[in-house]
Amino acid sequence: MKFEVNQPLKPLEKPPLSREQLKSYAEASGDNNPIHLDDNFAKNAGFPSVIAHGMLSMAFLGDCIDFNFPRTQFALKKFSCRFKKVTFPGDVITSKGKIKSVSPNGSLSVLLWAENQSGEHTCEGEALIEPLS
Amino acid sequence: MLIDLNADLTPIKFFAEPLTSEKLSRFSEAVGAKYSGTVAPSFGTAFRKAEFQFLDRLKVDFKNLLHTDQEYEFLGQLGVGDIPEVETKMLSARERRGMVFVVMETTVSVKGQPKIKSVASFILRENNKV
Repeated sequence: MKFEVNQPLKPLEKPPLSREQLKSYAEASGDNNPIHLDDNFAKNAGFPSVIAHGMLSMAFLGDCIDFNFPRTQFALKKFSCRFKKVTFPGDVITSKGKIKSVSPNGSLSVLLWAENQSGEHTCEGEALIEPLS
Repeated sequence: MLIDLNADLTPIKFFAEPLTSEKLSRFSEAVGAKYSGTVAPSFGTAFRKAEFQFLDRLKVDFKNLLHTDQEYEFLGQLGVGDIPEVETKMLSARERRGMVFVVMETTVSVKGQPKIKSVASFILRENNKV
């Protein structure tokens, strides 16, 4: 498989975020911060309602990596993310990315970002991916 | 004061529950991903228990806490049946311009072999200010 700089990844759109998903993610991840689960707590923190875990957006980016670079062919070596904007139930998050660089040994540096339905970046990240020999 | 500067910040070490396919698939389902028998890229977040313990020790008000950055380095594969040993260290907790910046590092190992190294960064705001 050949990759070129700036080559876009296949985007991955998720269904709208739901409160049920935030509960499921809290249970699966162990992050039970009430700001993700309790509207009153979130309002006291200055938000109109519960907010989604930032790590859920990062998980979407991770799923986008797996979608574009199957584990049978690639190994993920590094994965980082900066959270830019909070997300709420009802938001539709699409993960996108492009190839930043290709090293002579085939290692790929990949830029990733998650967008909400308004095209705003909710998080931005980077991954280092190596082809399996 | 936004944090307790006298908090005990010695590293926290513990053994997580053994990894099961149920646990891994529950995580994948929660993020709307198909479980294919592998560990999801951000599954390391399931080992953050000690980070929350540190935040409790620092007497952080979770209403004012923002997770700003997360980094993972994958040093080996985790798999079903592994019993991960988790060690979390406080790298820094410093106050600047009315905000506190907290950085923690977590290493997940199996039988002494590091598998995941992660760095989590947080900002603690004052009274909901960004």
